Amino acid sequence: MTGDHQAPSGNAARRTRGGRAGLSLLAEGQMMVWLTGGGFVVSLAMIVGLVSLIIVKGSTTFWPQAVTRITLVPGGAVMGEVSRDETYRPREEDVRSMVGDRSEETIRAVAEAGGLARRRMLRTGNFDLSGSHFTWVSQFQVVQEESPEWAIVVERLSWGRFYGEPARFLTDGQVTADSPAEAWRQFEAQHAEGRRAWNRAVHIERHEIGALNRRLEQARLEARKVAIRKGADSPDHASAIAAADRLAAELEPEFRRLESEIQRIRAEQARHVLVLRAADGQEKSFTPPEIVRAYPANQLSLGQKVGIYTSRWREFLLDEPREANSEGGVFPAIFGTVTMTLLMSVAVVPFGILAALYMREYARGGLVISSVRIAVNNLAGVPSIVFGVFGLGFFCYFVGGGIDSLFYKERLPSPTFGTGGVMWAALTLALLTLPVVIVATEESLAAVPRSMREGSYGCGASKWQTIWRIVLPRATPGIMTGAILAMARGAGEVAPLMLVGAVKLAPELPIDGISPFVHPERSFMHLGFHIYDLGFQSQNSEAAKPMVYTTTLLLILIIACLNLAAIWLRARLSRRFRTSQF
Amino acid sequence: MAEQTPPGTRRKTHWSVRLIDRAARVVISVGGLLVIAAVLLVCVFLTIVVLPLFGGSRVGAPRILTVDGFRADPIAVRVDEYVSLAWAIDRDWSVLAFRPDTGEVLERTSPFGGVLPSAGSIDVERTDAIFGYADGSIRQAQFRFVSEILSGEQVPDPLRQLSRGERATLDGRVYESIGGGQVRGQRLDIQLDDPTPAASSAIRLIDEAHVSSGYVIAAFTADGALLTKSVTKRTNLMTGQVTTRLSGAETPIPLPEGAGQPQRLLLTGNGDCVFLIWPDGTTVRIDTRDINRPVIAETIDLAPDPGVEITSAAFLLGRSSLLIGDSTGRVGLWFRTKPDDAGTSDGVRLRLARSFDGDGSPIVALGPASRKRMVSFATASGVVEARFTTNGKRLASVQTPGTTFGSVGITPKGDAIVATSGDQVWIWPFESKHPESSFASIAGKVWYEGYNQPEHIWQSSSGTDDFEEKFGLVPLVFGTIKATVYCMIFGLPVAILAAIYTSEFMPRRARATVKPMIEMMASLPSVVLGFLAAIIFAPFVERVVPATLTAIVLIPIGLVFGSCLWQLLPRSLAIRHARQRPWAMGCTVAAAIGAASILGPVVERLLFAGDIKGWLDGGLGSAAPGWMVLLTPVCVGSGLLVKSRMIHAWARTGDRASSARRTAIVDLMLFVSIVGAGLAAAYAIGSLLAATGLDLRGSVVDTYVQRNALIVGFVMGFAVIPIIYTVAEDALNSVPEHLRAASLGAGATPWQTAWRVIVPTAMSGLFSATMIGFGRAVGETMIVLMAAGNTSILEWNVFNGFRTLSANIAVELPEAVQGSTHYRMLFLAALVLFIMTFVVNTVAEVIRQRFRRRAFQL
Repeated sequence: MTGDHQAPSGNAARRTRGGRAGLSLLAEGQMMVWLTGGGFVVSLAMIVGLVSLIIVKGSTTFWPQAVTRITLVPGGAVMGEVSRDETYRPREEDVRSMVGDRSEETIRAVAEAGGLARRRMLRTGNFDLSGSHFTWVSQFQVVQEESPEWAIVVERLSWGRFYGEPARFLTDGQVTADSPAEAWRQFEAQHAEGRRAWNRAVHIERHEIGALNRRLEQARLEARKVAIRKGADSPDHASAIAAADRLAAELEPEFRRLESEIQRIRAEQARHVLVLRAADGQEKSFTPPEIVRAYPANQLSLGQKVGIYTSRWREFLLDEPREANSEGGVFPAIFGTVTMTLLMSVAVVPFGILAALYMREYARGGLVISSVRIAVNNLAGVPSIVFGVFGLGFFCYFVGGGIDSLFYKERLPSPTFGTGGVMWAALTLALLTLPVVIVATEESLAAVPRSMREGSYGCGASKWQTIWRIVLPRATPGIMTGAILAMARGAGEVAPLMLVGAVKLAPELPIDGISPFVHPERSFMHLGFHIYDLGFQSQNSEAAKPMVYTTTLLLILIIACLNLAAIWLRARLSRRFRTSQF
Repeated sequence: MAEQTPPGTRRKTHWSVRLIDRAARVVISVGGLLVIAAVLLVCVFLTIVVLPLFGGSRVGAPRILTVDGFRADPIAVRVDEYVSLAWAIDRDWSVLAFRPDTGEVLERTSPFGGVLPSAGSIDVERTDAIFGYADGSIRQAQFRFVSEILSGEQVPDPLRQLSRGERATLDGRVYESIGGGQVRGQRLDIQLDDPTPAASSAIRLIDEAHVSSGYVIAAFTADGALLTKSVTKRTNLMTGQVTTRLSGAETPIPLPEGAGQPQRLLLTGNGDCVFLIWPDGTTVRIDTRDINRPVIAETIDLAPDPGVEITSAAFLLGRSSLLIGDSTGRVGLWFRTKPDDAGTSDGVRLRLARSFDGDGSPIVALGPASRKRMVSFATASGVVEARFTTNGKRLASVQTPGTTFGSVGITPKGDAIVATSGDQVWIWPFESKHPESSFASIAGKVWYEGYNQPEHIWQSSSGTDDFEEKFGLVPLVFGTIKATVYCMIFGLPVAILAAIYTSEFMPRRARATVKPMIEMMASLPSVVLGFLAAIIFAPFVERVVPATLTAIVLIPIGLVFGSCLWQLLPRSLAIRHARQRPWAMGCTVAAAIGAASILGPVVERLLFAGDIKGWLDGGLGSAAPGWMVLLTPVCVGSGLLVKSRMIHAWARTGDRASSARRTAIVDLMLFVSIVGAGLAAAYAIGSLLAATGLDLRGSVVDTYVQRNALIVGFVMGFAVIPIIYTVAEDALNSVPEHLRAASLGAGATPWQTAWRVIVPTAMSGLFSATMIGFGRAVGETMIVLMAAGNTSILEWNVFNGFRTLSANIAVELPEAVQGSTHYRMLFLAALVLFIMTFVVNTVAEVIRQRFRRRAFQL
């Protein structure tokens, strides 16, 4: 901060410049300053580089790319989006197997280029036809490259993407179009309607049939409850079973009606078929509802590209995942993260404040309280996984198991509360973030000037009145800062959640429209766990990569927002103090 | 309450105010104490879960039954898993089914009829048995306990009155009520196949193994031949008749001189090896991997001390390790190891791994357990013991002076020892919840089955049932320390240097924007860092290993070089552009990285034979370049130290005035020559070390693995640097301003002030920052889980992975069964982690508080 302004000035400077200036140069320790500066530059570069990497990769993922069709040397062709471009050192036998009869000249050409060759990774999709999502193409294999006008990128419900050109459109088995343009036009006309119908079928399947199933399950559980309470031989049990059977018989026609409705919708949509031809000539038929999104990649105008980009973001933010989480959206994960974090703050903030108030205002000073303070501070440094272990053992198995054997006997041995769930996760993280809240609250309580308390006492207020009317209001921004920091920490924590309830896939949200509306025992999806799962557990991690980047971006945005809120609050707090200092 | 207001008070406080005040006090105190208790609960709960691991075992009082018609020392006794039914083959080959709780005999049959076997073997782990006859034929058999659960109408009337847990006998079955109106019946089912001719002479010893393709039989005949046969059974679809076909060989075995006849024959569980054991300990191990051509693999003495006789022998669970009881009262555990110089046909050697001592009197009976790695034995003086074989833990030890036991065994659930003596059956219930764990096996080296020497191993599960669980925490603790060390080597200097720079050499305004940026790094979720480490950095670094190594050396050297260039700037320019210095530093770092990426392949070609991974594997090149890379920073660093300590000091003495420009030029030239000399010295020392046969490969560098400590160290830096940075910067900043002002005022340069005044004053704060960063690194989970490969190995190789305590918990705890040894071991791992970080953090906190007090005093 003062650094380089130490240079001699004026006459004295002129005198020493010729004489002892060299020594003062040595005394400046420029070398060590540069080393410290290097440390600073490296850490700054790390954070800036990392954040910009995530932002760039995450925000460009959904931008529609052009589709390239490459004809290869030994015959055959591939079509797809270029997803990576690199130079590598091909081995001779690989070259031979890749280019066949033109191998000698290719090897010579590669050798001339210093043994290096360029290769590109194409996302070729068509997993159901080719068995892989990606294909490496070396430059020496390429015969011809083109951007086919009618290359269609298809995002479908299963098997990942499909790249192909429209061949025909069929209605009721009759070919109604056999040129790409016409087939595409007819498909477009049919697509929106098809998706709507499909959504209707899914709705019936999930909600209406689901509701019936729930009623049946409820009746059966009721019967088991009676059996446990009054004995299996009791008349009450028999009547409960009879009631459940009666209900099943009652609901049967309704079941059948809904199922036939689904059948009807499916049959209606199966009338239309779009046939696409892949680069290698194989054909594949699709009914409109099977296709989530399709676009002719090489014909898009900028506006259309923006449209696809936003539609993909919308799907990402609002839809459920498909394809083992590697496609679709992350809505359940966002919802789970938010619910868990809110539940956590509900648990942690009041108790953190209570503990801080006790330690700062009520406890008598001394060795005990200062050692407790050290313990609480250090709890912030205890690894999060240890809290996860504690949460699993104490909340899930001990407390949850106890609740199950008291209140949910009829469901045993399948656990209700006795396993990971959103409530246990929230409580575990509450414990984990407790020190953050306690420390922040204590600090903001300590920052309330003594004079204000004394003034309050002097006016005859009681201790609680002083705390409630004078101390707490002034400490609120500090407490809020602590709470927000706790939320930021909680939202980014994954390790303990792996043990206490975050799961790969949980389509049933912890809060929904089914009574009792809040389901604290349900396991949930979490953005952080989603990243781990996609990157490491997924079968097709290369195809899942774009999703991981966007999920990462989303998670970092959420956490950055929380942190910025905390920083803003802190700034406001200090401003308020400055104005009211006396 | 309001009435208690002391007299003399002029204005009474309203009762509601007092009530609320009291209530608030109570609520806050109780709540606060509860929260603090909850915090302590974490530690207490972990301890409660862990404690049973180290609990001892309890042995109950024996139940002594007299079984009617039992003759002395039956051939075999087995008890079912509920200890409700038992069978025994008596000395006259009749089979008794009896109740081990009352001694009541349910039935006595003679399944063998008139012709009695000359040899027999009954498997401990399975229901199989095999018998050999004097005419050379063999008979396979099954002795099975059959369970059936009856409920509702099926329950026979006499059993309806049973209360839960009560037992009754009916029609040769033992019934026990298991609640809910259900009863469980147990009966003995014996199936005896027809004899099949197998050998040309009488069978003296026989054993059988169930391998994946069927049964393998090994027998020793009166002619001194070894019979090795595999059994194929065919059922005729028309008649339902089973024909047994044997194929294999009958090989004469050259017996050791003067040893007499072998006494025992044991065939391993996968049929690849036969042990012929003589009473004096001589053992011939025959390699039967090809049953048509058995080969003698080795001859070994299992009781090498003179006069010691082998009194009993059996297989441990898994039918691979031998348990040998001898006349000195010792039970030895022998298994096959694979030393490099085995010199046997199958490349393995039988070795004594450990032994369990009794009381000195001969072992009379030996009984391994059928589902756990336990063994029970009885000595001639009436001592009965049960041991867990992996760690030698004594599970039960009882003394019954004057009783000589004929057989001893452990119930299938491992909860009771059953021994017979004459017509008596003794049953000792014992309880040992976690025999697998002991202090010695958790912290020490254990010789596990199939390994060549005792080792530290963590391996908690595997596909097979007879798997030996290996709960050594040492590799995990080692992995944790390895991660921490490599992370701190990188993160600590960077963070502390950055903190010094920000606090001492940066304008206040710039600091206000930069500090939150670095602090934001702390809030990056570690799952994100782990993902980037594993998916981006690991594959990237793998492609540019030489460039990465070069960059590590080049960046600091480049910075020093940059500082020399900066000194060359005219003074007025340098002062005017002082604020741009960080940009110059950034450019220098970027230039160093760029130079490294160009120089990397050159370095690889010059030093590492053009293939650094091949070099690391140890196959290529000499050891000198490795030393050189390691020694270059050391040599250059000490060169610079000499420069600043001696040459600068020399320059300061006397009146050696020179212009700044000349000094700068001299400085630059000095630096260049120091780097050159450093490189040369590093190469010379490296060659010298290599010539003496020292090689870095095999210790800190070795075979390259994609997910390694280098990657984790770097990425964990993201997690650790901001924490160390924040605390260190706060510590430096809280050094009172008057110290700084005084130092500057006395004519010291900012660097001199920082180095001689500020840093020493803030030293304890810096130390506490280090400790806090250390604590964070120890517990980091997601990064190591994703980027460290998770193999638990004990080596410092920076290019290999590791498995830390935290990652191990994250991987294994979701699958551990609640309450099992594995589950508790993982809790122990968590407790170890908790204690490690708690100690480190407490030390840091105490130091920081002391520092704060001292800083106030200054």
